[in-house]
Amino acid sequence: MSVTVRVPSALRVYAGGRTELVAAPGLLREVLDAIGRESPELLTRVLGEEGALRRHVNVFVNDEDVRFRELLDTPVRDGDRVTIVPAIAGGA
Amino acid sequence: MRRRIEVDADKPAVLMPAAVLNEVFAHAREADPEECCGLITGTDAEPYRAVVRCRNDMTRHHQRDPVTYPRDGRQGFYMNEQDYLRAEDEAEARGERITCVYHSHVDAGAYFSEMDQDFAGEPLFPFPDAHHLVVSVVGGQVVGQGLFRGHAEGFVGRAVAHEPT
Repeated sequence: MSVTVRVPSALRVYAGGRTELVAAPGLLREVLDAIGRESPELLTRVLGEEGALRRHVNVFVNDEDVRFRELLDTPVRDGDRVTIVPAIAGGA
Repeated sequence: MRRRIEVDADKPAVLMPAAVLNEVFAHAREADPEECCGLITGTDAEPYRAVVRCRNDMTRHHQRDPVTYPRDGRQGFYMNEQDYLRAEDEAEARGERITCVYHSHVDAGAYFSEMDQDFAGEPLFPFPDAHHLVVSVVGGQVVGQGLFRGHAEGFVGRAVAHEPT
């Protein structure tokens, strides 16, 4: 039973160069805690000091943005794919 | 506090292949009245080789959560993440990389706005070495463009012109 966490290129330096990490299923916060024990610097780039998702970082469980689900309480099930995605945005 | 950055008219224009620039212009016109966004891929030797259009999700985010996303797609862009991840994967498979991020401003100039700088200067920005092409669309037509590059002292804007054929 496992989930995969895709690490974006900008963050791979904090994950030993790996493109994917593996964790046990659970709530998203538990999955992130697990990868944070392995790659603590990675976790600090995803979560702010208050423990919430940073403004410029999005996390998807499969194809769903967790901001439109239950944020860090979003369930991540066996076989799910978590993707950490920095935002690209702007405008006039 | 940041200010918008304009094109420095004293610097020489950056040249781009006509096919690439025209494809960005076409995307900007078709997206009007919303901003368009996308990526340009290439290599060190040929940095502006191909255009990948991406979806602008700003209106969708605004409709779902107007507090977090106060702008809609007429005043902003939010690049669809799946689109840009796919573009990055496909570029890597071709031996290319993302060299430029482009978007349009509607009824506004081709400057690098405070919001543009806010995201592009973020430490986690996925393509920190990429240039930023901004296209101005007024009245449905492209009326200007500028290319912005990050330097130690901040972003610098230059004019963009077609490569001579």
